[in-house]
Amino acid sequence: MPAINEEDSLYNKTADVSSDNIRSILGSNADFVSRVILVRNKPEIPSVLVYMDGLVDISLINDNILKPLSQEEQFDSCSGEEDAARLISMGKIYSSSMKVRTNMKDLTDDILTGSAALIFNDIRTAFTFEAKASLSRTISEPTGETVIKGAKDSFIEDLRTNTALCRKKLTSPYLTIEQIRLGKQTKSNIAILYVKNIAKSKLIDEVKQRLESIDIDRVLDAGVIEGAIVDDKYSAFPQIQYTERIDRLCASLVEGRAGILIEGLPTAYIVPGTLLQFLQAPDDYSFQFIIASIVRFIRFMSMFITLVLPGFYISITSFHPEMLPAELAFSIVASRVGVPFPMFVEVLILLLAFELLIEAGVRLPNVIGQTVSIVGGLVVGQAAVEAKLVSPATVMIIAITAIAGFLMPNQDFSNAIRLWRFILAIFGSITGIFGLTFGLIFLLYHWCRIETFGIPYLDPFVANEDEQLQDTIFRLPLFTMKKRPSSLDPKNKKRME
Amino acid sequence: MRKYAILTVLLALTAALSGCMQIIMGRSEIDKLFIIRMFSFDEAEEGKIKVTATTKDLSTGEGGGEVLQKGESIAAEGETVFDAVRNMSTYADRKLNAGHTEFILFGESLARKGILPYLDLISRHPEFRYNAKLYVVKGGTANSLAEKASTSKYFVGDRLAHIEENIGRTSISGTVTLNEVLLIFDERYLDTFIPYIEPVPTKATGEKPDTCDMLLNGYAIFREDKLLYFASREESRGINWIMNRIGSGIIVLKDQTGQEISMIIVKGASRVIPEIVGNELRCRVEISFSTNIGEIMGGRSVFDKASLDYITEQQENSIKREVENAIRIAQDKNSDHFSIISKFRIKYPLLRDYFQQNWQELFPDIKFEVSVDSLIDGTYMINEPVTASKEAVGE
Repeated sequence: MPAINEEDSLYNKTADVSSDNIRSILGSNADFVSRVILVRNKPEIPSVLVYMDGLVDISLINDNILKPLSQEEQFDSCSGEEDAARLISMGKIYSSSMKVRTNMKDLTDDILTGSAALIFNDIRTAFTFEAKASLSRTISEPTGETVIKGAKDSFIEDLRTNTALCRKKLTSPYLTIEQIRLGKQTKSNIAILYVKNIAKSKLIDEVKQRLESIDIDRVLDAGVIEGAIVDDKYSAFPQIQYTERIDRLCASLVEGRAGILIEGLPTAYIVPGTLLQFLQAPDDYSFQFIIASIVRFIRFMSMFITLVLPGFYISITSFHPEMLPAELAFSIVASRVGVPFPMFVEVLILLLAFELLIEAGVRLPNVIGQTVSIVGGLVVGQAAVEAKLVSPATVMIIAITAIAGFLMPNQDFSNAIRLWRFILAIFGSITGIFGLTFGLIFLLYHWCRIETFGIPYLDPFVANEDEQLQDTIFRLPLFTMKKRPSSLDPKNKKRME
Repeated sequence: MRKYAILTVLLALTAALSGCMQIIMGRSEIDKLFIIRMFSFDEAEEGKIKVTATTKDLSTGEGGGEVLQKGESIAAEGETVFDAVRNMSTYADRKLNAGHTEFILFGESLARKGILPYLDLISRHPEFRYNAKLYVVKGGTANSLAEKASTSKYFVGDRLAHIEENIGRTSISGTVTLNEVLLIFDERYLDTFIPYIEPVPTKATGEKPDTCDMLLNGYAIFREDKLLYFASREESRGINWIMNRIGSGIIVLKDQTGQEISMIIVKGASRVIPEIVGNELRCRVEISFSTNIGEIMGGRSVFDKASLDYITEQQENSIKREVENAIRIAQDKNSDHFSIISKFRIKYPLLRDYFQQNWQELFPDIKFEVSVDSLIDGTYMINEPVTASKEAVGE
């Protein structure tokens, strides 16, 4: 027996377009508005205006729909609904986005996405006019990817505004924006952006195919799309880069990547995402290359520090104290006098406390969040040290770990590193440096086996074309980067001659 | 997922079957360790060995004040070193860890009987570092020095480290590592020298009455592994000249008028060139150094060519005497602690066996020729002595 599709039963595909039918679908809603309008006050030409209150701009309806219907003299010649419909289809109503709807599903979708509908019951035809009310906020500064030098605008929740912002930055005629709808309930618009003469067709087809194959109820959260289209769904490491910055998305498109914009989300996704991308910050290309290289190198170092330091600290203090300089060993010993916990437990307590503070800071309103940081970090931290629950040396180690973690430009990547930090600490606490090394080899193996849209996650470190290494741990001058990343196999390989 | 499982199992087996379980079992918290900084060996009664392990005392006194001594020692006796160390474990409140042992001390009486047997465990044990420094305690036991040389402010190891840092300013002693000594002891034809520490009553105020200071006054000369004699300060500096271990130092000499002048050695270098002339072994010791005029204990300016030439000659003679004296004593005692045999073996490899078989007879008869070349580099900005009269400087 075929599965019952509730959606089909709702729309009843055989039903004709009529005001009664639309009322039966949406009429129970408080924001549903329907009103009979007589064209030029002629009782023989009735029409029904339908819209969802709040979704539409009433002044647009008044000026562009109601006014011409009551004042346009050409409607005087109409003898029935057919004549009126003919004139409307010829543009007598002032709207650039008029659509003729003859089935209930399209009509309902249009009304629910901010259009007003004019229904002629006798001829079973409806006209929909886009009259969306401006419900989006203004374009503001990005909050998660701030830069010192560079553009200060960012994406907002409105898809059309976002695509327009991209067009404004990237005026190439080859910039292509394709749109699909996802989410059985939300029916969210998803835009796929790419530069046609650069991006590899296979990559774009793959992105479209993966998006279209998503069968899901809602697309309201950022993770829905991401979780559905990544290659390795069990990896904590992000395989798609997200950005709030328009310039960053445009730069990626020009490299040959594809972008995904989702209605209602102020972030864009860039595919494919490789490890290197998550360690690059927008500022890297704003500053002089020597400064940018040093900063990026520090970022790589900090990734290593934040990943390994707690595990390394446990290893050397519990298994290999001879590796420490003698004076440092004595300092650590002195700081641990009276602490009742083994080093591993102490580190674990502090790491968990740090995670709690981060989580509390994120969930609480800004003002209270800051108070939590002060109370948690300073007051409780100080009290814990004085109560000999933790040692000052360990607090320092975790503080360095945390600060190094904050250097990660991508939050998803930072979260994955946080998870692996725990794993490495556990490995280090079991067998010391041996365990830590084992953990690192395990992590490297994990990275090596991830492929994202056919590209190795460790690209370009595993690429055989050395030219790509110009923009990795160090960033060489832009004039030396004459080619686009070869792993993306772009149609146009050269950035410059 | 299957791959991860296989990888995990393989690595777990590797850890379990390759001896890495030792590592897992060897886990111990750093604050539960007795981190040994100084290891001391002495003779004990009935032919036993007394071993003392010393660490830094990190505890604070009552009310958070200073403790009486920054050092903490535990000692035990045994038939062998290992036996003594294990006996120590019977009452030590923490696990002994020798990974940070920086100083190894020998009491004088033990050193005279030979130190090599005591180094076997140290060279064999994985925790000890080969760059640990060796010392002989002159006129006392290493145990008493370890227990008495820590003050209320400084741990004995820290004090010794500070002295070591300054030793280059006089060049009358130096540091010798475990590795260097073991390499020399591998060759039974070579002798060596190890710096000695002389404990003296402390001059610091506010310390316990029996606290002692340490003087690093020269080298203890060893024939094979047995202490032969303690070299004087002058002889020790002579040894350093020949061994090219000079850092700095003061040469006190007199100018033509008899006023005393202190010359500071700024840099110095030497090389020993062995040669066989006819049937005779000869050695040329070439020394070059430069000095600054550091002090003039008189009123007369010495910055004329004649005076500077005279001072240069005087400082060269002074150093030549030091070196010749060190060589003479070594030849008298028939102790080749300069490793001269190595120089000959390198230059004349075909005569290697001949040298090794006859070195006891050959060494005392080697003709040494010492040549010294020096230069006065500067005056520390001031030309005239502060006691010079106005007439003397021509005003």
